Amino acid sequence: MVIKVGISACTGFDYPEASITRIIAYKVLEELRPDETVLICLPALAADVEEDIEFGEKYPVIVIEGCNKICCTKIFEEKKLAHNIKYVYNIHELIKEYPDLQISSSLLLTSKPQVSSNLEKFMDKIAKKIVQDIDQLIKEANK
Amino acid sequence: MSIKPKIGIIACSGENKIGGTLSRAAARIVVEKLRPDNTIILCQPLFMAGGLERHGGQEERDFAKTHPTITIEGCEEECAKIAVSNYSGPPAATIYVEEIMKKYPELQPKSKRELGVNGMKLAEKIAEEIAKKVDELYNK
Repeated sequence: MVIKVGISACTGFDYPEASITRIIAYKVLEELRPDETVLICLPALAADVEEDIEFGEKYPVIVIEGCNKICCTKIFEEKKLAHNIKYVYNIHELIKEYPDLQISSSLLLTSKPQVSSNLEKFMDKIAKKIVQDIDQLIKEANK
Repeated sequence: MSIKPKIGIIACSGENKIGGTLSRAAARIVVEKLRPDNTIILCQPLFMAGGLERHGGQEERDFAKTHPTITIEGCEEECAKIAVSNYSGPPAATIYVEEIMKKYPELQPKSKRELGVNGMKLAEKIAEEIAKKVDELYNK
């Protein structure tokens, strides 16, 4: 079986952190590891859509939470799939380590969110860490 | 003077299809620009995570039980409608983004990540339809 890594990210859109989460997830899924990852769509998982449940059962999962309400983790728990979560990134908490980052509501309603160069660097850094985890999970699975 | 309750907007928050991005953008246009005094966004992931005992979205679920709520569906899976029906009762109305997209074939969004000029115009059209539904419910 070809092992992929499931990525499930906060899908909120009322907080700037959710937009950051979404951008990081896209970077990983579409740019950095498109062949090694699958998106597990959170609303679809909650609504029992077969494909997303199957991904959650079959693959190790990396969760990217937008805030401390940790909705992704809770939904995986509810679906009895939390045992497959291997890494959790909480953007709200990670941002605290970078006090110079400017997070504003301009991230919310635009065709393309306006991202400062500092924020871009932060997102790249987190995306690269997630990529390391993906590579590690695939290496372990193929041992 | 009577104060009318706000109307909840709960949009598809899916990431896999363009309908998810359009749903979110349209919902924000309604709540921020078109009907800011009459509507409120209910966070779908929080709603689905639910349960006060788990510090989840019980407030969202309770709101949808006691207020008219419109679901915005990004695709045929109707995840928002399923979530609201399961936890709060049937939504007051449902808007299907894919149906509105078909009405405006000239407005093609650039991508899921970046709607582009035409995608934002399409989101405005979707938002106008949601606002119409808000008015219908608000004036009932």
